[in-house]
Amino acid sequence: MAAATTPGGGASTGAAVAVVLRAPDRVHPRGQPAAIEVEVRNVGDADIWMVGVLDGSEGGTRYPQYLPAVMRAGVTVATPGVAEDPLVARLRAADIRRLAPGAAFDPTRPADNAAYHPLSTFAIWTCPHAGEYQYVLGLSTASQAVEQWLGRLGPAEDPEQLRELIAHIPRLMTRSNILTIRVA
Amino acid sequence: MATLDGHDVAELVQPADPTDGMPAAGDALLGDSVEAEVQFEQLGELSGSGDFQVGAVAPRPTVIAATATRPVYGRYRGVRGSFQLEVRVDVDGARPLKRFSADFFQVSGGTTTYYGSFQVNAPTITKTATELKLEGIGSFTWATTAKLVRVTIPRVQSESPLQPATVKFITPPSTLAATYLCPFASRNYRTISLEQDSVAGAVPFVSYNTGSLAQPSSSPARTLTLSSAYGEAGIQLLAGGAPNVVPVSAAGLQATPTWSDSELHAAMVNHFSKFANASRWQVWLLIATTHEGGYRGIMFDDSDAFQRQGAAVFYDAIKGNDAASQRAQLRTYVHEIGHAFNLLHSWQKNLADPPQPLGPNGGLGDLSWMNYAWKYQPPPPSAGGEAAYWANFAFQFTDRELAHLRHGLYKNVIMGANAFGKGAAEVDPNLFDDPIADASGLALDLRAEAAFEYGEPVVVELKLATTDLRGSETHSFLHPKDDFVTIAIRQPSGRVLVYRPLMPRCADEGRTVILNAAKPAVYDSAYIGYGRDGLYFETPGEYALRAQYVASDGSRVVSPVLRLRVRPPLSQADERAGELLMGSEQGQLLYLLGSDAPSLQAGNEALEELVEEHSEHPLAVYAQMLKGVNAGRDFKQLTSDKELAVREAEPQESIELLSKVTDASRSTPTAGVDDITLNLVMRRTARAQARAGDPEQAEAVLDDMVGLFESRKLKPHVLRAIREQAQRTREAIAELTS
Repeated sequence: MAAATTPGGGASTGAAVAVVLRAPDRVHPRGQPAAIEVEVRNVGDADIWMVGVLDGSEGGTRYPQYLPAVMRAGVTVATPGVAEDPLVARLRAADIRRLAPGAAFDPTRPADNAAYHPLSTFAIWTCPHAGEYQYVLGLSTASQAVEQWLGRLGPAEDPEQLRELIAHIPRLMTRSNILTIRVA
Repeated sequence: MATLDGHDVAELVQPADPTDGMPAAGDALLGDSVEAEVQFEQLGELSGSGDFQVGAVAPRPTVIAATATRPVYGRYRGVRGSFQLEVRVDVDGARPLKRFSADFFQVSGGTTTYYGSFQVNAPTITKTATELKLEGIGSFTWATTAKLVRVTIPRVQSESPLQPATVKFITPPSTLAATYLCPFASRNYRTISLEQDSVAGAVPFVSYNTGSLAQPSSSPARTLTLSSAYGEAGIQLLAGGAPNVVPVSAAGLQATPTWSDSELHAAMVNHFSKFANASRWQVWLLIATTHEGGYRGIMFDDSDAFQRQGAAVFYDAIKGNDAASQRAQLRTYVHEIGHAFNLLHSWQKNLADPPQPLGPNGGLGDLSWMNYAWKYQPPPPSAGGEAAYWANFAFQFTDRELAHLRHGLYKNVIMGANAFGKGAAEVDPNLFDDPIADASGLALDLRAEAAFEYGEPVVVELKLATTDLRGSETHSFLHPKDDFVTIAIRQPSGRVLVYRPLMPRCADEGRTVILNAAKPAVYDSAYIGYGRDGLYFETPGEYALRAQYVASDGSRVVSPVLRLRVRPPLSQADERAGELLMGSEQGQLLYLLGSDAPSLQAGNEALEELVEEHSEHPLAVYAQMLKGVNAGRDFKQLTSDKELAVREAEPQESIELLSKVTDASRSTPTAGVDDITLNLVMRRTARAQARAGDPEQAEAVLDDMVGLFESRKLKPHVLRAIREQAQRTREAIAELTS
């Protein structure tokens, strides 16, 4: 769980976000991707605005950054590839959702017209050997630079409205629980 | 297409439809029935007669091995009258898409200009022993009744030269409208000039043998370069100029090897020898060191008016001599140049305008140069990821991407035309297309203040200059009133209008001008705020303007795009002053430089209010100018009794008003009215002084005018013209006072 700072740098009044990874409680077959569920939850006491995985979020090209990793015995075995170029889709107002205290959403699942993307690293990675693998997901909304949120491809929306909405997103860096997957 | 009174803008400004016309001699009205469709087989011309490599072609079971006829795929080009037709026939050869498409160009004087395109995506294909016939309803970029297009190409033996294609445009069911005979031009559907430069220390990629690492069985081992990868798609990349090594300092950098997008753009402007703010089949690729964002590559030209002309790859991010690195380098090079062709990432096709369908699994399952290897994710249960991508990737574009590259509408593909990801034009009417060839020897420039206040009259300056050191002979009609210059205006809403003057003049006298070193340019200014469509700039926001001049030899010379802003009013006083200049009658008064006409009484009352009650507002100078110019001249009116009444000039009032305009405008070139208008105001003031019986003061005003413009350090030939104007005014005053 991460407490948030406000865009101006001060402490927020109770805004906090938890990123939770889950998977079916069973042994996963080797050579197949594990079915990882992702949840972003408002664990604070006030409404917050948040964005799911956008085009370029996974590679760290734009904010919010969703940075997945898979580890085995303390060694990272899967991370996103290098972004080829920064030509990512524009942020839209529909991508920014308001979360009441206690509310949660799946940032990888398009809903309510939000253009969220799957996390390719989790969706594609297949554990090649039997054993235990640790899945973790970092989330960063730390950038104050609006340009690092906006993107550059696709229909443009009212920039002032977007700036206002972006300003409402709590600035934070957090990490999910470490989810252990048993593979046989 | 934007409309103007219900007509396409293109219709208003373009000449006759190239698909229209009387049947040529020998043409018969069509009545023959279409033969049964014969699906064309993949012939896979491997005889070497083509001029691009054929690769990655899976043989089909229905190959006509026994036929020794040559495939007909490729580009054919023909001329009819002033129109040139370039048709792309895509029915055989490598990965045939079973369709054809074409572009029309118009040749006028020394200029060749794009006119329009059409596509026939599902033609009926009929084959006999001697002829191949393609026929279908075309999708045209302009309105035409002759939508049925028939292409016939004689079939020849493999050793014989290809015969011309005959292209007929037919108004269904069978009325022939036009016929073009198009000789074979090339096996390539499109040809692009690629200029590649590198930064010192960055090593350009050369080639990769696809057999070096595992690849799908459908992909034969072959050596691919950037050019041959596009060659397999039917797109010819020709080296444009010798590769240069870019000195880092030229891009304004010091020791850092890191490049930003703006630095890349600056480097393109400095080093791309063919760079132009225009649509051209040419692209620049820079092999740079490192991007500030750490990327492998970028098509960085995605934010100005003429996008997609330049791309870069970053050596530090992609270098490596092992096979996997070389393979990835090839992919990056092809990928970034793909963006220059307006291809989007595989998962972004739905963001195009208009949206395109996504491939499997939201596009992530595309086996394409335009996907990311690590994001490759076919529908389950197939494995995804980088290893799966390379195991299945045949080093090619998808069929839809291939269709875009080969048959996409001209402006959607050519560099410098439609914005990245957009099907909409930056400036819409075809009128404003850049000539693809320009031997006119002339250049037109359109200038104005960068921003106008709300209600401020929009005045543009037109400059026609020679680009030919030997000099150019043409006419000097630069004002839009004279019908030789047309100005398009894209309003903030996106609507595109052609400025239509209130009272066009017939420029039927000769006004030949020779532009050379002594007189390299001629100028004029025009108020274009009001015309036959009313007020053009009444909404605050950004406007894009472009002008076209038709020269004496018919050449169509197009100006660069001029952007200007109309600011919103900042106060109630601004809003009121703007409104006092914004009415329809005020627009007419601005156009006419004042008038006593009773029909414009309300407009004159508004100007009076501006002068009397807002005299300190910057916009008051325009009302002072109109009233001052009008007061300085006699004004004739034909009364309702058919009698001619003359209101005599009121020179003292004119002097008083025009002097205020001069005083407000003399401090800086941006204060008050523009220079050309100030020139007019001062000459009118001198005339009024003379008319008031003070020729000495008139002379002083003209001396003041020459001195004022000399102090602004204008170009010598401009100052010479101003002195000549002053002299002509002196002569006119002398005549008046004598």
